[in-house]
Amino acid sequence: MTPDRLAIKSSRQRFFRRDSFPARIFARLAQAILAMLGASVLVWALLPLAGGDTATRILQARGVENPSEIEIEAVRLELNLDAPLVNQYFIWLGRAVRGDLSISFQSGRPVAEEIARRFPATALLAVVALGFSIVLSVSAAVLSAAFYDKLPDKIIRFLTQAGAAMPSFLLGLLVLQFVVIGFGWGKVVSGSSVADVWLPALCLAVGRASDWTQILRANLLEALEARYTLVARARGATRWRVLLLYALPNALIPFLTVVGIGTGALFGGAVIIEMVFSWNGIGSYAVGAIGARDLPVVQGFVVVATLIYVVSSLLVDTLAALIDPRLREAKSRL
Amino acid sequence: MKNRTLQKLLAKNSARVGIIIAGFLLILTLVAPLVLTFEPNAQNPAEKLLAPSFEHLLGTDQYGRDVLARIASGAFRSLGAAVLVLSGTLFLSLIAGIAVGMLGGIVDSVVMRVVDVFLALPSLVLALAVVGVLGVGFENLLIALVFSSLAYYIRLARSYALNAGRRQDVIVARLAGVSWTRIIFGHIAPDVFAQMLIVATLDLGGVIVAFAGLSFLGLGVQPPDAEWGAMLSESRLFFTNAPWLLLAPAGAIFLSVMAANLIGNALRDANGNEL
Amino acid sequence: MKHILHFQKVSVTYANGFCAARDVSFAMTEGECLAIVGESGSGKTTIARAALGLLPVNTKIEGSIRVSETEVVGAGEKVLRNLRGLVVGFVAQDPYSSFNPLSKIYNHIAEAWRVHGLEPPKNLIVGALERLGINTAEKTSEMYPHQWSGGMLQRATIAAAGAHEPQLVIADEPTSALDANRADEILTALRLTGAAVLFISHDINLVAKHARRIAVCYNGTIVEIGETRQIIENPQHSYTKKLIGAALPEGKPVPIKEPCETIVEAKNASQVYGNGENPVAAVSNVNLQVGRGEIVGICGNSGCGKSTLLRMLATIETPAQGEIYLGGELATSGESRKLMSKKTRSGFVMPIFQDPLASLDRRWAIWRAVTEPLTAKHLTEKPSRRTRREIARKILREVGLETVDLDAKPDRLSIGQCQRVAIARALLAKPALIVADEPTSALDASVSKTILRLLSKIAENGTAIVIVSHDVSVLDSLCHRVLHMREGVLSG
Repeated sequence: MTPDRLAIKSSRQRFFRRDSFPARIFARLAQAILAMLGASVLVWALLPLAGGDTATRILQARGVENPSEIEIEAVRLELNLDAPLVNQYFIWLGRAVRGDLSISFQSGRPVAEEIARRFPATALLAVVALGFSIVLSVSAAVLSAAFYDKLPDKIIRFLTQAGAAMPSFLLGLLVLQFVVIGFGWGKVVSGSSVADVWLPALCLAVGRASDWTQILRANLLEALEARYTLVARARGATRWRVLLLYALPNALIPFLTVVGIGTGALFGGAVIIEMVFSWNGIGSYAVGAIGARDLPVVQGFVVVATLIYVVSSLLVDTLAALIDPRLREAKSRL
Repeated sequence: MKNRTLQKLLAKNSARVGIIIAGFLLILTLVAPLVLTFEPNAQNPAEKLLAPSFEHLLGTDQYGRDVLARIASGAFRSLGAAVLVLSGTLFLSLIAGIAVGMLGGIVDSVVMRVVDVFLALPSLVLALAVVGVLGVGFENLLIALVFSSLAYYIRLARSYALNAGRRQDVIVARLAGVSWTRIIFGHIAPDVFAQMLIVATLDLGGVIVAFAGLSFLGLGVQPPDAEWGAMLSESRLFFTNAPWLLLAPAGAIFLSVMAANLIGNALRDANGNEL
Repeated sequence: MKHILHFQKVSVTYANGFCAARDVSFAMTEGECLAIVGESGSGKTTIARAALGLLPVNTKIEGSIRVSETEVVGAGEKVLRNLRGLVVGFVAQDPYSSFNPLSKIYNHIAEAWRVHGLEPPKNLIVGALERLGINTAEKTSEMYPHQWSGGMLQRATIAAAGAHEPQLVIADEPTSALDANRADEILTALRLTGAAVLFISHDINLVAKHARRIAVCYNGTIVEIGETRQIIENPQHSYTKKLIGAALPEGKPVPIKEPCETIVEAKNASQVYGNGENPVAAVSNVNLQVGRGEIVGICGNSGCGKSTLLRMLATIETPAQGEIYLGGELATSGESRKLMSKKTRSGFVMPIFQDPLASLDRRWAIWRAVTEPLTAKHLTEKPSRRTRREIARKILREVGLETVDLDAKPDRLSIGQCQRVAIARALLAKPALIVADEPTSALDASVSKTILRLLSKIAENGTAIVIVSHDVSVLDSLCHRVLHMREGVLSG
């Protein structure tokens, strides 16, 4: 791209800048919906891409071992499998929007129903893990920044280095072996309930909290270097006041984005920890389906995970705009 | 300048530790198969679940296979896979990112919208979906992992390329009449590559984890081939009696991720100071 | 007379070993206005922060700093907090970044009370703002910093700094982000607080209007201190002389023979930035003609549009309206926004930028960077690596860099050397026009003198030069014509 084209491009971008808060939120919403629509094409395409005859597999799932030509033809007609791919996509999309995610090749039951049944367990695990991650990372990062380069900071830095190198499933296996079996705390095969959620959620949280602590600590240190914190100190503010009232809110804005992305990924990322703790959620359901190439279930899983991912990043962007007035209003100086 | 980056890197204790661990793992991967007398896949029912001893430094598993030999042979797969995945991602994203950033216009818009769609999926979920389509297996998992972060890499490479294209030295070259091809290969691509390499190094630990994790789920390397994640899932039932079956692969994963993180962070810091 | 601020043999060494101040001694009496003048890196900001005890941890401070009889060096947090805000007010450099972007202006000023555990008096705050010339302060102070202009923000800082009627106000470059008229207003407002003012600036001419005494800071030491009149009229130290502009090249450049051929022409050129409803005119309706060998200076404050104009002349940017002609050919116009003349991409115009380091590829050895124009597309014969090195050596000698290592990367060179490399590169393109954007503002006085001399030599060989600067004395010494730019409008 030539420099002059760059110049034009940047002025064009400026031209389209949405300024008012509702307009921005609306634009962000439209962007999220578009991304979801695009993702839906991707998800739908999994089935045709995988090859194999869909009608046969569905009939087998319904218990017909060796379906006849006529039966296959009937299913093809029922599911419009002979229609052009574009039409098939829109039919699939129409059903998906109404909550119909086709039936599982393995069990023959509706995928939406199976996922809905397992969703609360995954949501519980993810939400508790999210809570742990946020509390751990914010408190550790604040402590670390307050005692920069002193003992607490050094300890926290060491722990976050170790935590970031410890994948959750590994931690899960170790905890299961040495805490659950060794000390008899918790259960080996969990009941996927509130009482059993602590250990798997903690395992899921440690790595994330380590990463987040490192990020927030860096943000905090950067904010403490900013001129407005210097000015506040020159007015007589204490170190803690500057850290908590000035640096923390400013450091939280970029941190929020990280948390948003991490939250969305938690639902998909709980897959492995669910397997380790025999947690009966959508993750372990999906892994079983992948091994058996039960694509409607994989599709359903991807749809749910993507939906949560997009929604959580949307929520976080809105939240950031509520905290930061600069993201909220038109930039017009008096 | 290269030497200075290296000097800065070596001046840091964390980087030194990382390099030492990485060197140790490298020796393990490359030298151990030559020195060790045990075949990683050779079963020996007479010697199953032996505790670590001089003969079997890390003990044996439920089939009597030497764990150290399997860790070494697994290192080749686990770490090799991560390097392979990142090289593939890096290569594709450099070409696509620079091309799209420099061409601009409709090509840019279309590719970036497609990239946006891929970015709407969490990367692990995307990897799972690709495995779902292709079926389980080592190569398929590699492809899935390349896919899972390609969109992110392309977007990054594009933005680095755009930034490099706005640099003053590029403007000067352009006004002097130097061709775009020369500018791209002389100024833009080396810069984008250097920055992307740091990103990839920072990502190395994550890819090792993802590969081991998905193999643990049985979606990657298939038995009897040794791979750290697969070793963990294969021996799960024997952990209580033979904890070395848990600790050896776990330690290997932990150390390699640690080394990758330490080196990646140090590399980023060393380069950040220089810019 | 009582001293409100007293530095005695103060030396400051930062944790990385950099000694920012050496043996600094001076004293201020009550109600006095003392200015510390020096270029960036001279240690003046370190002095300001040391007085408030605000240097980073692990900084080594020697000597004694007393603020109204209280020793600051080595003092605990409690002692310092009783000085900060209460005895000493602080006004920081850049008003935009001295406000917490997330909190309202009113809260920013109210913090001056809250940090000391006091209830902020609302009517006092509003009154102070209105006295400083901010209308309807009760309403406008409920706005956020990004909605206020720099001048208004700086007045709000002054209101906050003066909250507890301090005996001393330390102002670190309080006007560097503002234009000249605003700067005067702000300084007058500062003086009106009645406190002694320690005023830190790089601009000696601005300072001379307000300060009773001036201390000149150079390389971490105070090289000269005295009454303003005495310093301005009879500077002793060579550095002070440079600062007041006495050391710029003497006399006018060699006049050019008229009439001469026009190299670049802007016709009604305008540039617009900003969104559709709220466009900001960066440059409006500029007409400019520059002839062969002519040096034209454009003077203006930051943000006045002078750099944008320069970018349009160099066809780096296309104008939103109007046309640019290079050597009589239409190069770009606002209608098509395309490059129409071959001259736009053949080394006809070469730019020189403010930061020479950024204009060189940090991966390239300088022989390669200098001779890059020789690899241009329109040149049929591309020289070999060996000839390129020879040519590089020759041209570098011409710009006074005979000793430099051809294989060095830019980061091994000083900034002044880098700027000369950039100029040498521009020369190899054999340009008819050189556009230079603040080519000397990153350099110290003696180096910028040699750069300016180099530029005027280039013009004598027939190259037209358009040079942009905020410093009119630089332009006066160099240019045949100096034009002024204000809010996008060019005037003679």
